[in-house]
Amino acid sequence: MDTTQWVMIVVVSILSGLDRTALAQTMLSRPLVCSCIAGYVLGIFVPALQIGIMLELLWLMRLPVGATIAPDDTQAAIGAVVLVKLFSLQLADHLYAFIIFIVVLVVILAEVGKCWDVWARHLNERLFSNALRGLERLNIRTLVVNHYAGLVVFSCAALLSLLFIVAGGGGVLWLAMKYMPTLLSVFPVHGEWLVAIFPLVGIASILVVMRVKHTVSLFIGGFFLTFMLLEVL
Amino acid sequence: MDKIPNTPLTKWRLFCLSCRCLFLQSSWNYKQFQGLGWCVALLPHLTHLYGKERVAQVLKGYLKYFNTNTFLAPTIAAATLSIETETCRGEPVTIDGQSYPDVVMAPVAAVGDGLFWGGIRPFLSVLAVCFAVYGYWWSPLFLIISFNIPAGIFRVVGVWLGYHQGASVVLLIQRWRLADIAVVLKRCTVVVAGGLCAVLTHQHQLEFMWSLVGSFVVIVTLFLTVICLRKGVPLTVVLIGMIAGVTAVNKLLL
Repeated sequence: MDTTQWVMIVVVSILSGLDRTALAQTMLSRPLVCSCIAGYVLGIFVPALQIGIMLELLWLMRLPVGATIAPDDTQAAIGAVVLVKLFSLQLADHLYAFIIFIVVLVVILAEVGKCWDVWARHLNERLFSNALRGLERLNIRTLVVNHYAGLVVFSCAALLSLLFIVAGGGGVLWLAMKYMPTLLSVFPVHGEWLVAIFPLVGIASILVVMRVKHTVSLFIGGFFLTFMLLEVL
Repeated sequence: MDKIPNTPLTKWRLFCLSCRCLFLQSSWNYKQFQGLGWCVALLPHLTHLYGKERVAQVLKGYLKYFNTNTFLAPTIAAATLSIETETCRGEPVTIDGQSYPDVVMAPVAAVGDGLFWGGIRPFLSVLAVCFAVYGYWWSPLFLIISFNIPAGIFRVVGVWLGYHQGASVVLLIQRWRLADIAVVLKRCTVVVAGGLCAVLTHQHQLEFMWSLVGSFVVIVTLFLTVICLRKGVPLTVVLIGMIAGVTAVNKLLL
């Protein structure tokens, strides 16, 4: 990876990190979207799309409302794309197994990575206190400056989360690289179709939360309708 | 009161209000949630109404806990400013500008979150993954564009309606039956999720009967996964367990 690509990844990481909570919420932060952008920047669009498919549905129903914080799937997706780019040459023969291994790794790291989001929100409490003090002194400018300073805090949280995922994931991969052929012989995760396990678990987690009438009938109906259509086609 | 401008907010100023609401959560914190962003969103028009000398005093009443749905927040902001304008003109108001957001933010958040986060986003995400599975490069674009069309309409039109309807805009939101739309979208999501499951597991090279047996196994496994997740088993554990299980079965069969 050259300097331009690193700079572009940092920009994508910040913009999509801000989109999660602090700015607009345009869905730029969804794994399917940000991993594809990162993949396009790094010239590995197809594996990035696979990563997006694998991560998109996993935490879809962890809603970004109130004080709930979902695992950082945005930086996990970007981090996974960066790791694939950094290590793929060494394991070009087992690309699918390698992608599955990386995604499992970032899924674990994303759970820890949400600590940065919590840290940012706690840091913003100080900004709020500053704004309140400014307002007591009848200084309106302090209010505005402290509000927009929150964007810097959230940007830092996004970057730290990405750094944690890339460094942590990179460290584990570097250590595991020696034992990777042995690992792949024990767990032959060569099948391209194994990638489907991730969206399937994602669908299961959606069904857990979707509490609508006749969920089972609707799901099985949708399944068999599509199944028959695929058989006919 | 003689300095108070009687001119209503122009379309451009309303659009600017909508844009400022994009930054509503920029300083999100555990103490006051969106409180600071809410104040900053209202600040220019409040300054316009009260003047630079008095606005700090007025803002003290607004700098408190605030939390609502980000897509419907511009509507509430515009309605609040409408109430403030009426108050400044000396017109009778049913509720004052500082109390209005306290009253409406929770019901509006419930309706907005249910629609956008519980209805539109899962539906479009599952659909986008369906497209992505077939290798369509535009699937991320589809997700962004299709989500932002309703979000944009609510943000831009909502602010206009909020300003012109004032406090009664909540009755209008109630009449739109957004909660019912969310339920319909959730049902559609379940159907599309079933379709996606079929797309992911369908094997063209297998005979129909074997393919049907495979589908049955997939559905049973999926519902067992749902039970595990409902029992509180962490998603990561379920994921690793499924990969290990499928790999083991694959190794035994081959």
